[in-house]
Amino acid sequence: MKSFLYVFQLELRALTRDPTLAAVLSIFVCATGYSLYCGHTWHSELAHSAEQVDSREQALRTKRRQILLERERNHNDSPQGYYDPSHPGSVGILNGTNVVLPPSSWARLSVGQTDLWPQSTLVTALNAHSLSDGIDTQSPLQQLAGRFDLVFVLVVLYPLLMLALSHDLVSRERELGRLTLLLAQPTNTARLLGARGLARGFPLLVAAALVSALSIVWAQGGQYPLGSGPKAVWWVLLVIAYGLLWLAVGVVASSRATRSATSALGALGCWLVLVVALPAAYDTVIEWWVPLPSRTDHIAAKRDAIRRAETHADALLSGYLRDHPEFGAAPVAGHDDPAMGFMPRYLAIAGAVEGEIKPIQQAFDAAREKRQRIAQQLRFVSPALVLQSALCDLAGTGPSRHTHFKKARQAFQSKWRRFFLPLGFSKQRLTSADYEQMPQFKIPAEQLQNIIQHTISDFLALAALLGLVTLLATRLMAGCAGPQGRR
Amino acid sequence: MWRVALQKELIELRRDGRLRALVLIGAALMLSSTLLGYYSFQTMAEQHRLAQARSHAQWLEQGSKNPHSAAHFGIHAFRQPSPLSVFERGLLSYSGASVFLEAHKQNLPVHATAQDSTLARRLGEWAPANVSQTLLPLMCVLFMFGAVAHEREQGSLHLLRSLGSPLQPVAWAKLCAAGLALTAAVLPGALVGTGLAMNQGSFTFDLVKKAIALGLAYGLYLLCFLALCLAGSMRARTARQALVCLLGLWMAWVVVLPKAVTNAAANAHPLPRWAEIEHRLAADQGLVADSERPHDERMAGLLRETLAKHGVADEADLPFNFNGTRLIAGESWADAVFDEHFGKLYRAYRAQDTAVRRAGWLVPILALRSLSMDLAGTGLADELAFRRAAEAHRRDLVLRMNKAVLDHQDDHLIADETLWSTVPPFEYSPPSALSVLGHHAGDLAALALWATIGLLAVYSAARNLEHEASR
Repeated sequence: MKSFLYVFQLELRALTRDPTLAAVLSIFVCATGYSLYCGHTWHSELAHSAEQVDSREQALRTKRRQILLERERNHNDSPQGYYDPSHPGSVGILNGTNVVLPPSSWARLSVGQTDLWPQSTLVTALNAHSLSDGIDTQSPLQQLAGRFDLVFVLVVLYPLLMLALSHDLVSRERELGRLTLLLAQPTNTARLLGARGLARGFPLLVAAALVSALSIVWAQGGQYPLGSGPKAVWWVLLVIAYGLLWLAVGVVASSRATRSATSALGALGCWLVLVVALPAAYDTVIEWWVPLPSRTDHIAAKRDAIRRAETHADALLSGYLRDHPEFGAAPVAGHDDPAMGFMPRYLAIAGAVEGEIKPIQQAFDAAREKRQRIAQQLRFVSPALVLQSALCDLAGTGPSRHTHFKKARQAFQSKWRRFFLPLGFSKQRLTSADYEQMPQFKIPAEQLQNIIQHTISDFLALAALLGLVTLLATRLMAGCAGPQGRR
Repeated sequence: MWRVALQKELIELRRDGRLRALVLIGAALMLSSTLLGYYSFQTMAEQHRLAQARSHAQWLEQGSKNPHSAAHFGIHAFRQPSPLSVFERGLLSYSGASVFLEAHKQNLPVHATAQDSTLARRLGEWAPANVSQTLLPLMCVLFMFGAVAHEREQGSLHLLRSLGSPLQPVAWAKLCAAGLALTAAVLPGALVGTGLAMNQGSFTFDLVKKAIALGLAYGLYLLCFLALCLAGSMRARTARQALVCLLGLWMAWVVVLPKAVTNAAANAHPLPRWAEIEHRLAADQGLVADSERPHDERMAGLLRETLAKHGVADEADLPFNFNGTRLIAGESWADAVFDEHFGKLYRAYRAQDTAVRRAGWLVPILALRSLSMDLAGTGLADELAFRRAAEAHRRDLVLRMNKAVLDHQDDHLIADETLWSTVPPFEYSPPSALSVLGHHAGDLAALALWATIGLLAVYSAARNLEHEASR
């Protein structure tokens, strides 16, 4: 152990005099700084937009309620048009309310897929079975390029920088003819080279862990809700495990190569395969393996359903009112309201269309869930995918939080629908009291346990891979020395 | 001399197992990505063709109804992928498959397939253009880093100099040999891709021009990399030094800067969010249920004006159906609002694109990427042209329906297929090769400039070597 520490210190001292270390650390710090700036800009944009949508919805609801209150106080019963706060169609059936997913504070560190999915979605009483997650204005050029966030730096650049430090650990000694001299030392070769290898990666590992920890503290913005501590610890542990893995890959690449250039090529080849080729192949294979039902078919089926329903609208309406007499039977004020007259017929058509497209929507959702499940299971093919998936989940920018949001949105949509449809069918106008009863969207907190469980499996996968590569590195390094190396 | 040097280089290439493996790997990557690209293209083209035909048939067969109800029924416009998207998928996964064209609303394309993709998509897509833009330059580095530096290390460069051989032809021969090796890697994919795309039967002369321009652009891009890598190898003292510098260049140009620059452009030209646009559209048209109804007031004003113009007191006395006038005026007001807000959005898209393309003078991949996407019909210019065409079609369709209302005094007009068939099927013509090249002349010039810089660097490095030899 003493010799290990001694060699470690010596190598570290030598490394501090090598300009490569300064270059690597400078690149890492600059890239991290820029990524945090980009992440912060993105987060501010999302937070601002979420706040705007929320406050606008609240303000609109308050204003509409005030108008109705005023009218009720003045006993103003004059008939109002479609664009009136009392019309259930324009408030909640044909139009509705925007529900928004606020960005998690860690979205500053990871953009994940938040730039692909619309942040807010319009919920109406009738759009439960839409295949579209909503609309957003993100530039497709930006979406194609992806965001320069901390996760990009850690998943893509950090390994390259680690390889730059470790790729010539043995090959350089061999190239300069010093390896024989080194192996002549009365110590275990694997331990000697292991100490040197660890010293090579140590400064970058410390920098990555430190940068991660500081970034998390910064992203939290002085607020530390329950669960942020364990999440931060797992983030740092994952980053260290990933760094060690690439350090070991660099050592393996340098063990057999006779020249540094060859070991650099080997290391770069590993990076290309694990960070570029395998993820791209993984995405393509999953898309091929679990194809989603065609959206164009869904569009066509919906339009056919609309056409059929319009043809039989009267029969549909009477059938619907027969099944739901509570909607039609109640004597209501405003029964002859011209702006309300079209509602029952319209809702009957919409109900019939929904009934027809629901199975298509369900098949689509099932296929999408299957795709996500298989993607989760196969992510272990590449350590880059494992780290990316874990960090995005910890940051709340991956599929799991989005799925959580979608479920909350669906539950809210059901409540919204139950509230508005009876009003529409019975041609009843909204009152100020209805505004107080109107459902409000709130996204429940995500289960921390699920995230941590997912992260632990990712960490274990990285640790297992690290163990394997380290074992290979140890064997190769011991092999450098021949029989005496295994002392 | 030049021919002898080239022969020697080609023999060395054939003998070097690593380079042979590189060519094979490159060819496999290009071929596999081309086949996948073709599969995606074929699936999408077939789906969109059928969906477009079905959408038009549904329009025609919607039954008898009021023309305004028909305008609400609307149609869907699908974007037909270009055969060149086999090579370059560009924005296809991100830009949405179809736009719904209906009365009163300008919609954005929806159903982008990237929304269903895995997180891995953020690390890159398997497409021939991506392979050519990112991995082929890496192959250039691997081909070239030792081209002269190894010879220097092994002492064969000294030997060559001592023979008094001119080094310029040797340098050009090395460049040519590497170019041929790279062509061998690209050719199978290119030939198979061209064959498959031509098999679709939709190859026009314009597409051929675009394909040639694509070939030229990629040729310049790869020539720039090959030449700069050769120059780097000639300048470096050791192969290791050459490799480190060239890999650094590749990393900066291909991995880091494209993303960093695109993000900087996004920060410089922020986009309005959809929720904001939607709110502004509704507010500006006076269509928010909050009792402030400028829309209604404007309509009342329109009625007053129309009655005064025709000298009648009641809208029933007008020689046309005032509901038609009301609908046409409503659409016209709405169109002005759409033009303002969508115009702002599209201007911001273009500003981001322009900023990124300007950086192409410093980072050649940025010039190439934009040019490549637009030539393949999968870029921003094509996307915006499609949206414009779809919107023009929507306005035409809605106007035809509203004019039918205007021309009939009966408020309960029921029209049928005779009227529906006056609306032509949606067709979209992508920008021509000449207009794309005109738009991207700067990008092509940037690529040509970088290729020239690369060649000058080789020339200068070779002269430097000759001077060293003469000293």
